[in-house]
Amino acid sequence: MQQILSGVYAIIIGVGAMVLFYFGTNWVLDKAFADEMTADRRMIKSREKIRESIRPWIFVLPALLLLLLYLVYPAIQTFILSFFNATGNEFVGLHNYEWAINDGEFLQSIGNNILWLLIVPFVSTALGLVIAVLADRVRWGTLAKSMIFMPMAISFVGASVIWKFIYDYRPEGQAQIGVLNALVTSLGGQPQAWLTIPFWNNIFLMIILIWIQTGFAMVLMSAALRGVPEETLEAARIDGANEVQIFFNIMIPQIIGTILVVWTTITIVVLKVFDIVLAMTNGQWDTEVLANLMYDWMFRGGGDFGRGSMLATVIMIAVIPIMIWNIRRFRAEEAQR
Amino acid sequence: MTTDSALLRAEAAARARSAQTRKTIRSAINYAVMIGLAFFFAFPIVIMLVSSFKPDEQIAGDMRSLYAFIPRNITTENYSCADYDLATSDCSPTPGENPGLFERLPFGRIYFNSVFVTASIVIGGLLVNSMAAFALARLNFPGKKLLLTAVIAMIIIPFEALAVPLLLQVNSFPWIDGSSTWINSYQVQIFPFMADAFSIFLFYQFFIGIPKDFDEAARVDGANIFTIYWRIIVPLSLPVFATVAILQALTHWGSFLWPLMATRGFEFQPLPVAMRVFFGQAPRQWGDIMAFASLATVPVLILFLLFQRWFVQSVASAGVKG
Repeated sequence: MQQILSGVYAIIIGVGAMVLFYFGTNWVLDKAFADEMTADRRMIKSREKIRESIRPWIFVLPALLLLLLYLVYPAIQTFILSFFNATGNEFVGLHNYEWAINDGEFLQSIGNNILWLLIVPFVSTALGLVIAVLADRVRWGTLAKSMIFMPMAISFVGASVIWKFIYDYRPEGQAQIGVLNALVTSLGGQPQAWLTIPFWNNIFLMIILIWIQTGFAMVLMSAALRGVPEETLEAARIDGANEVQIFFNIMIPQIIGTILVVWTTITIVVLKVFDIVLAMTNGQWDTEVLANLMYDWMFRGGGDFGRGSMLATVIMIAVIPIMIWNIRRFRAEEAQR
Repeated sequence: MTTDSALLRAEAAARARSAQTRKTIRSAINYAVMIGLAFFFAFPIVIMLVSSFKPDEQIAGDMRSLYAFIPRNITTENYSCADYDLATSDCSPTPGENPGLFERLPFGRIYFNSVFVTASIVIGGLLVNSMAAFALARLNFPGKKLLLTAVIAMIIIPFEALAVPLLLQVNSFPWIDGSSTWINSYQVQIFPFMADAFSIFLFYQFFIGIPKDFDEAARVDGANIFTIYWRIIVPLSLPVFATVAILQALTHWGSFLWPLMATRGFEFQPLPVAMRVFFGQAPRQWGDIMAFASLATVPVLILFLLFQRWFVQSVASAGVKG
């Protein structure tokens, strides 16, 4: 109870201090650089220019400081630490990277990460698009969309627990409690330990992420499709185009921007996939991925900060192309304003 | 002549009929696909909820039939608790029942941890991020372009890549109660996440779309910039505030890696970490686990479905534009 109270006080004080900061600094600014006026309120000297050039920084400063302290600084530190040894006190140059190239587990995680990157964004985006198109053509489409949207609200760990139940395996002869094995055995098949089958277990893990992410893809696609003019579709239909042709030749080109946005967003999620792998297999049975390998090196068996940071740096390098693409797209959009 | 036109008419009718059949088949396929997909996305959640109200033997027994989706032999023993002490989160076992969720761990405290941490991040974040976005979108100052680019770049830096230096960093932070580390506390779960580049971006996208005439009119009337933010921008931007709040709440309600690293026991651990610990505890009772997952999920799910429309609108507009 004591801890709860002190925690609550601290946060109230913290947030209060921030509100005070915004009000207080604004007030101080207005006082410190007040316009000089005569007694009958005629302007002698306006200091508005100074005031208004300082003021924006008051608004930006708290966020900026927090981001510098908790994002920029650790990112730089990660990069630096990746050139140091396990305890972080001896410079070893590229040694950690050299080690990685020859490490079987690292290469396997790279392979698995690439597999994830190829499959999950594609399937989620494609499914999302198909659902967005079909939902408008069936009754109860909105309800179906809500159902498909629901998994997005579930945490990765929660989802992993539910799916662990679905994939659960009991040795042959015992009653199968796992949903999938119960289904397989009641159809006369053999129960399988799904999560230990190499290669396919990766797919079983990906299904969980697809289950979570498809709703997001669907929502954005749905909104984008609403922007495709109905006349264009009608015109194509009158010209004799069938629905499949309309889908590929008209709808997709019209919403290609949104498709790319969805694709990159899910790609980023995939790159940091960690919770699911840790909770389901912990990288065993050839399911290792970069983020989980990093956690492994960092915290198990005493910890190796150098190798862990090297792995984190590899993840950061992997997102740089997307980062550049994002910035260019943003600049192009700003130029139009 | 007459036979000809009759033939033509019959042909047209046949064509219309086959077009009709094709249409029916297509719509049947549409329905089949949609029902299949809706089932795939909904069944894990249904199973979670239904199983949480069954004794373990019942879960296993029902699994081979459609009863898996139907509540039978409803019991609350996975949730129940003879007398619950809110202050200590202690709970005595109900006589004659298997020990349930509340009896096996201080669930109330863990729940509070999650609610408190998430709420603090969301509230603090709305303030800090909207303020920054306001300056970036509505005010002019040198360095603004650079700052905007930096924010865009920061959006996709994965937290996983920062975790370790951050842990070393907070390990030696002092706190106002005199302790010399942030490890195993609330603040360690809150302050690193208040400022968020993606939230700033969402606010920015929204604020920049509000006509500039509004603030100019107010400025002519003598309002200062702070008043403009508070009286004009905030009331016009409620949808984006709601969106950022939902997105941040979802992210941090599910946050796992960082609390796993930075907290030690149930006194500060949030739901996902505790769920993972509980999952590994013997005996593995699926009923209790599903009760845990249901309680952790259902409130968020309800909020999410309630605010769905707002959320969809502004995420979609931000996504389509940006």
